[in-house]
Order: sequence, then structure tokens, then C-alpha cells
Amino acid sequence: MVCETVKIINQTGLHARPANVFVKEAISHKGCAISIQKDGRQFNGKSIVSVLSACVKCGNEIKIVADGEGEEEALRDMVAAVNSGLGE
Amino acid sequence: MSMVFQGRGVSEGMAMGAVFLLAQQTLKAPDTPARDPETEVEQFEAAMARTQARLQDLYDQACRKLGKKEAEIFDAHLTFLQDEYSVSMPIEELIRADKLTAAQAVQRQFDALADMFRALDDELMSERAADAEDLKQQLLRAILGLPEQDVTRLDQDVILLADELMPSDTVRMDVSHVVGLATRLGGVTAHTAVIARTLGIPAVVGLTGWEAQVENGAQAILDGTTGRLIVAPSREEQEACAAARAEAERQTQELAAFRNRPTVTSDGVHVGLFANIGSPEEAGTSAALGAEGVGLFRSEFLFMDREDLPTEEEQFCAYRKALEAMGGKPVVVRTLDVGGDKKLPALPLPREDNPFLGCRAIRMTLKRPDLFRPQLRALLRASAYGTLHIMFPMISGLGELRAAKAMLEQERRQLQGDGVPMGPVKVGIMVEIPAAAVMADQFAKEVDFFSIGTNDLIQYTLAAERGNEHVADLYTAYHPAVLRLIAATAKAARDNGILCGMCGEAAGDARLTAALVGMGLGELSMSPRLIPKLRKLLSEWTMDQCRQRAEELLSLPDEAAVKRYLEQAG
Repeated sequence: MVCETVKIINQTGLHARPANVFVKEAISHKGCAISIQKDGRQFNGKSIVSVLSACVKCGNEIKIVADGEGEEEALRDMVAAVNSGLGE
Repeated sequence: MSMVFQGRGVSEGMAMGAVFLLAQQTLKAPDTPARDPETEVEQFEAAMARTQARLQDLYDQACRKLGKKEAEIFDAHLTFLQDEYSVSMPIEELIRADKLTAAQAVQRQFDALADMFRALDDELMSERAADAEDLKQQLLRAILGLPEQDVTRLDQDVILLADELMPSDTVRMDVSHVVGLATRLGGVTAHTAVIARTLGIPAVVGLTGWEAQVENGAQAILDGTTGRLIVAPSREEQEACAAARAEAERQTQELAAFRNRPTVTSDGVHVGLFANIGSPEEAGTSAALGAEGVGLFRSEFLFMDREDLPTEEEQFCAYRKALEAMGGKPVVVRTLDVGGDKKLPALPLPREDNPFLGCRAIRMTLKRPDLFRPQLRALLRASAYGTLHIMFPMISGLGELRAAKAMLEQERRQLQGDGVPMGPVKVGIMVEIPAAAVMADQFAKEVDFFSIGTNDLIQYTLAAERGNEHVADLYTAYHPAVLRLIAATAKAARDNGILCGMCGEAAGDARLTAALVGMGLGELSMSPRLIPKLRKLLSEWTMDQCRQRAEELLSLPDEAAVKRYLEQAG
């Protein structure tokens, strides 16, 4: 299991399009569970409903956790996606 | 015999067409026993496939017809539906473990999701709750095999009648044949109202009593101005409607030439004719109608018709949208003006014996920095996207103005420190309390502009409440006391080199226009559809004539004399 803390830079936070992009990226890493932690609570990174319900706002920090096959690469991709603005 | 139903007009105009009843939106899963789980699961999967295909189709259509931004909602719905952890897995589990039918399982899971989103108590999340409701309806329709009502290809003009219109309804509408919208639910800022104003067709919301009465295909007239739906209109009513439409058309044609040009008097003096708006969408329509700016953006509309308060982010988006729609033309946003007759479901305020003399507008927001600061921040952030003017309502003394300005300055510094881009912002006050009008020379030294709010100025000057029918005859802009306060305010502004505008009803009163300009008002803000008419009118007056008219009006002894004068002078 690997993890890294990142800051969400999107204006609307992790909502709408950025959330969709995040989840699609997570789903593309089959065989590896991806979750996010915010304020001590854990959310399924491959479920749009779960990611939205985390209510992540612009400037919030979240911890991305990857666990399973290819977890290093998955984490690297997820962090890169967040830092590049999730398609915005 | 014609039947008349009364609602609330939210988009003006008249339309005649056949009633198109859109089915009740709220389907419920029937209380039938489940068949064997595999059959139910298969039915659920088939419904999922159909719904996904339909959403994809809606997305493609919306991209083509409305653009990518408007289409996003369907993409979001599609992603939601494809979330197996929240949709297919739990629903199939409910079918297998709890022996539910496909429809019952869908209903239970989506209700749970909607409840979960609502419990998060966040504006964006309540939109997701609405998405869950919408998707539940779409899936139930697919499972129950109910036919999709086709509004995409219509062969005659129709008035859509429904409980409520969803984005998935309006995006598919054949806009060349939908001539009016009427719904049982919704308010001024509801989706229906916004879409109708954007399309320029009449709309009425809050229309009740028609449910069991009106048949599909019945001929009807929808009047978005009076808020009436007339079903099976008499020949006279039809003729009146046709005549009203012809007249409106004739005026539009006649005034078309005055739409997109600056407003100037016949001797070349420029006067700004601005629009009063309540939503960012209306900024777009106003610009199209030839408004030279927005003189009053009633920010309280963003707070109405909803159970929660808009976030800073949401407000920022709305202000930015309005500023961008006006493309650099000035937009005057009035900070939250509630209390008095304007109540918010999301903001219960203590009951007051005299609400109009109570803790409303700036008085309330100064006491509630938790409301005021986010609004100021949203405004400052939006200022980077156009020409923003901020206006404080209900100012009675310099202390209030200074307190509000200090708060604005603190937020500006904070944002500047955070490196947030901002544009120059002008700050002004609404002159609507007689005290402010009397002291205008002092205020003029501390603000960039005035805007006279006649609706309240009249009621406070004449001590006659706007909505009270027993004193309705006393409430008038034609009282010389009101006219003199306007003139004094305009003079104080001129003496101090600042702009004085007006944004109450009187600003759109064609009989007063010349006199108001003569008093020195440089900007009149009104319902945007009045603009071409007043622009034409002003093009026929010289400044000297305007000044003379003002002088004559201000010398009259009472309201009756003013009325008589205006009637005779034409």
C-alpha cells in the first residue's frame, strides 16, 4: 500500500468534471484499489458517488491511497492527474 | 366555455397553441411481488442499458444544439449511472437479498443516495440529490416500459404543461414549436423560468387546478405577463391574444432600429439605459435587447426558492457569468437585500412588527458577516471578468457605508494577499431612504455612484407601504416630495462629479423619462424590454427640453398637478 497527500486546485473542488476525470483515471487502474482520505474518513476513488460525497473543496488536501497490483504506478498517475488540474 | 388557471408569470409574452401534457414526473415502483431474482436482475440490466443509450443520445444532441457546457449534465448522469459501487451492485444485491422487484430496488437505492447527498448539507450536493431523483425516474420509466413522450419532433405549436420541467425535458424540446411553458411547481429562478426567458417564450409557474381538468391537445393561451393559462379560449379571447401578439410584433419591428445603438438625446447627450436583472442568464438576454449595462443585479434572487444558502463559489460563478455576458459593460450588483417583504426559506429571520422599518438589507448583512463576507469575496473574485460595480442597499447613514466599505476592503486585501486576480471595482449606494437623499452631498464624497431606488424611496417618503391596498393611492412617484428628493440627489452627485442613476420602477416610466434626464440622472435601469422604447423617446428630446420639463415638474404643488401636467404634456 502506498499513499501521498495532494492539494486540490480546481475552482469547484472535486466536483462535476474534475470528479469524473478523477474517477475515470482511478477505474483505469484495474487490480488496484484506489481510495481517498479526507478528515480521517475514507472514500472509494473508483466510485463517483463516494468521491462526490467527500465534499472536497478547492484548496483541500486529500490523501490518495493505492493498494494492489501496480500500486506505485497507479499512485503516480493519480497524483499527476490531480496536479495537472483534472482536465480543467 | 373557456377555463382559466392562475399562476405566476415568470417570462413575459403571449402564446397560443395546443396543450402538451408532460407525464407526471414522479413515478413510483408498484407494490407488486418480485418474480425470481434472476428475471428481475435481467430486467434491471436491460433498463440500465436502455437508459445509458438514451443518455448518450441526449448528450450528443445537447452538444450539437446547446453546446458542451449545457451537455455536461448528461455526461454527469451517465457517469453516475455507471458507478457500479453505488448503482448496479447494491441494486442487484437488494433484488437478490431483499427479494425486491427491479423497480423497488432502484427506488430504494436512489432514494438512499439522494438522502445521503442531502444529508451532506452542501449546495453542490443537493444538486447531486436532484440528479439521483432524475435518474431514478429515468430508470423507473425504462423498467415499467412507459413510452417516452416525444417532444423532440412536434408538428404543431404547443404549450408544455407539467408538474416541473427537468433539464432532460427542456434539452430535447423542439424549440421551433414549443411556444410556452407552464408548470405546477417552481419559482422565478427555477429552471423553467430561466429557459423560457432565454428562449424568449412566455412561462408561468405555480399553476394549479389544471391536473384533472385539462386534456392533452386542448387549445390554450398562455399569458406570461399576467400568469394566466386560458384553456379552450373563446373567439374573443383568441382574437385578443392574436391582437396582442401582433401589437407586440409591430412594436418589436418598429423599435428594432433602436436596439443596438447608444442612447443619445437629439442634441447628442448620452444617457445609459441599463437593465434590471435577477439571474446571470438574464444578463445575456438584456445585452441582446440593447442594454448598455446592468443597473441592478438583485443578488437576493440567488438566495430565493431554495432550502439552503448559495456558497461563495456558486455566487462567484453567477456574478462572473453575468459580467462575462455583458462583455465589459458595467454590471451593478446590489448586495443581499432581504427582510421586509423579501423572506428566504434558507434564512429564517426573527419576526418584526414593522419589517420595512426593521433589520433588512445592509442592516442585516452588517450583523451577519458570515453571509456578507462570502458575498463580498465572490464579488471581488468575479471583478476580474468584467466591469463590476458594488452597491449597498438601504443605507441611511455614513456609519453603515463606512462599515460596509471597511469589510469590502478587508476582503480585498486578503484576496490580494492570496494572489487572486481582481479588477477595479466601483462602490456605490442605493439612495432609497429619504435620509440618504437629504444627505446626498455628504455621501457623494465617499462613493463612486448613486442609484436611486424609487420603490422604497416612495414608500419611506410618503409613509405608504407598497403592497398595502388601503394606501395604494398614496403610493406614487408623482408626489413632488419624491421628485424633489430625486432632483436633490442628482444635483449632489453632479456637484461632486459622480454618476447618479435610478433603478426603481419609475426609471422605466416613459412619462417621467425626459424629466429624470433633465434632473441630471445619467443612467436609468429598467426591465430590459422597455429599453428600445425609451431610447427612441429620448432621441426625440434635447437636453434643454429635458431640463425645462424637470423644472416645470418640480415647481408643481401636488401629485394631482403632476399627473395632470404629464397627461396634458404627453
